[in-house]
Amino acid sequence: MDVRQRFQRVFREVFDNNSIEVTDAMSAADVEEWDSLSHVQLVMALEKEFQLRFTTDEIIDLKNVGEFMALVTRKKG
Amino acid sequence: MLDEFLATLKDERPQFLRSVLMAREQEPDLFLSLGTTILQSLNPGHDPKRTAQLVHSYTAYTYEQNYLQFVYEASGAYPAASHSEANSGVYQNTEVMLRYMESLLLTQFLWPHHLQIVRFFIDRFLPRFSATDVVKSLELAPGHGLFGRLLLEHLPKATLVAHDISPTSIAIASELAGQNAVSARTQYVVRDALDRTGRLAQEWDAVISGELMEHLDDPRLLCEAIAEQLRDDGYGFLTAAITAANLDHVYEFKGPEDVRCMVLDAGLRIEDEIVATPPTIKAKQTKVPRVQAMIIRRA
Repeated sequence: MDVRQRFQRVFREVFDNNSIEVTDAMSAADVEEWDSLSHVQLVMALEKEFQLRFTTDEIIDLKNVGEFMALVTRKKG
Repeated sequence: MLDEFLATLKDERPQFLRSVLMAREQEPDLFLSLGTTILQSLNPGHDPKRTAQLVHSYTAYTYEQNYLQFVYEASGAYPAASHSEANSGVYQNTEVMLRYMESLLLTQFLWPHHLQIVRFFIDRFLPRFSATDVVKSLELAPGHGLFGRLLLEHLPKATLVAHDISPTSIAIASELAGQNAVSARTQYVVRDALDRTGRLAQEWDAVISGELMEHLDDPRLLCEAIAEQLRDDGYGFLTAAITAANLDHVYEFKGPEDVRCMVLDAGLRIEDEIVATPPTIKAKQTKVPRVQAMIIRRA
């Protein structure tokens, strides 16, 4: 399973929505349930999924899912 | 300036906007007046880069708070083991404190439950005093200094002495008081709020302590300090964070009754109280971060 597929699985779990299709351009503006609390739940779920820890500075300036996936790829690389 | 802040938040970090809009809906007039005053004090030059920086500070702080809250939910313990650990890691660290204090000040109008506490302070605490009275006031650990400044703005003859262990806090509170043109009636001093040196019994008409209880190893000492220093006809304003994790929260209040018992045991009585809860709680969240505020007097 590649990074995008794993992101999609985590997104669907966190937002309890099996219709979510993850795209590079997707951001919090596109998902109604994506608020400040679910943002943290999402980060924690991705940390668990990829066995990583993100700093606040790494997370807070991410503009969209594509940048988030690139961050994971970079840290795993 | 407030519109610019909200527009930047919406454009750059929309996930943080929902609770802010709830605060605005909850208290539209106070949100506007307090938000404008706070942003003016933090960005007097109306610099767009500074606005972006404040949005960054606020969202980073909110993110970290929420993260710590979920870690606390899972572990059952606050991250800081003691006041001395928090003191060395946070209060004496200028860089950390600058960002912390400006973010915490922003939450006073951007977080619905913090805004509720400010409303309680303005509507229920300050009217205990007459605007024509010389109200001799003490603020214990002013932090960003908002409560003390509000008191001085609403009570034009009041004076304020404020003690905080953090030099950065004292510098920030003092600077912001200067901008609000109340500095002539203030005296900000770097000093442990619980220091007994030179402390006089029943000296103050008003004693304010916002956001301190949860930072202490033994908050009973703060309640006792207030009981000792408050005049018989004076009023105290006290807040406590309940099941709310933060980098420097040490004492875990498990519920409002914990705080009430501590206050009553110190020889105080509670005249009025509010427990404010954030509106954006998740369904499975068992540790809900709340703020309790009370108006107290000597028993």
